[in-house]
Amino acid sequence: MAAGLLVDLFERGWRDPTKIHNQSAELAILLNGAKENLAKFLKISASEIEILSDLNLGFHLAISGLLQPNSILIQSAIDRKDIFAIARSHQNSGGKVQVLECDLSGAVDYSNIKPSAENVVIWQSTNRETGVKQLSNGSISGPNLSSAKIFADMTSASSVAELPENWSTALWDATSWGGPKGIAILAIRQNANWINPLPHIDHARASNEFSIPLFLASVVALENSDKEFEVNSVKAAQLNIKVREFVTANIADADIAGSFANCDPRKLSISFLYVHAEELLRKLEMAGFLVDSGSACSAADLAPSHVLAAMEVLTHGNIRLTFKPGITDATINEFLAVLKSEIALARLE
Amino acid sequence: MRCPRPIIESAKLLSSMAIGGAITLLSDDPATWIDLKAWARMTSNEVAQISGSEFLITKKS
Repeated sequence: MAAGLLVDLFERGWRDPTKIHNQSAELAILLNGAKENLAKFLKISASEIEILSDLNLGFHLAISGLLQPNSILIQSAIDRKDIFAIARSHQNSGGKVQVLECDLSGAVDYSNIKPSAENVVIWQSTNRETGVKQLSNGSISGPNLSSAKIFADMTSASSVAELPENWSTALWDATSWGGPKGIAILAIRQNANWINPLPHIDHARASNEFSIPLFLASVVALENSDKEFEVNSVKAAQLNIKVREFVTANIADADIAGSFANCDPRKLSISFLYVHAEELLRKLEMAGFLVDSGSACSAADLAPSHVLAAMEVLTHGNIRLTFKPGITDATINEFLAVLKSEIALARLE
Repeated sequence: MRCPRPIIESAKLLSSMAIGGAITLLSDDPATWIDLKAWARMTSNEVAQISGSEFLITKKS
């Protein structure tokens, strides 16, 4: 539905909502309404929202805006590369960085953090590669985190994922709820100790340069995702369990990242011992199945997934599955048959 | 050789050895140490890193 709406919105969205013409004023009303709607779904205030066209910029604004020269940036080993880049930049400017390890399940240990109002803690709702979720329970577990500034990485979270109670800034990616690429939502909490890290003249927090049609479509996508969340979530969970159980019972030497209980059911990452990922992906594609991989042998930069490495899960022979709405049991059954067969063949070579 | 060849070849060599037998693997593939640890956990064997690109693999099962 969002895709069909996009065509209509592109026809209507060329106007500048800041102008005084009636049509511009109509667009401004539409935009404000969408922002209010978005705020309602994300459970924040509309005044806390900035809309961006660049996700990477969102990470920079959200995190660098909280950092002070004497801040310790506390991240995890499974954070996105964008965050590692910001951490490196902070170190290059003389700042300190602390990297928290995770265990085999992907759970990050926040217990060893020094309490300080200057520190900035990165909290990841859901891992983009493995689907592993960090527990929130209303606030990040660990002592004295109420005095630190928290950036909540919601970029791979489901539409119903909750912010930690004590968040300072947060970032969402519209694609995580089925929206179009090119829209990121930055939230800066009222009274957060945040300063715009980019050159600026007035009190503007962001440039306000984004595609209005894409934004409006992303809010429609969020509404749809929310309406269909229960049904889609149950189906994704069924398919996820089916794949886990089949692999465990029928394919030896498989390493599954994260347990079902602590993962977003839409994602599943499995590594197969003695299998070359790139060749497996090619064989699966020839059979009609497009999957992703976190293996070095399938990466342009020949580096294994730092997330799998941090979890000490096998990095070679890795496939990443995403259970999108509409995928059927029949499709999964067919996929599993091909997967089993191709792995057996690969291991014979 | 690139991943997963170092581990595949090591496993093949180890399969013909008695329990307690060990081999030294030389590999500059960045994934080798990460994957050797996972392999050891999955197959109940033992690995140790001697230097940046040198690894000791001991058959335990």
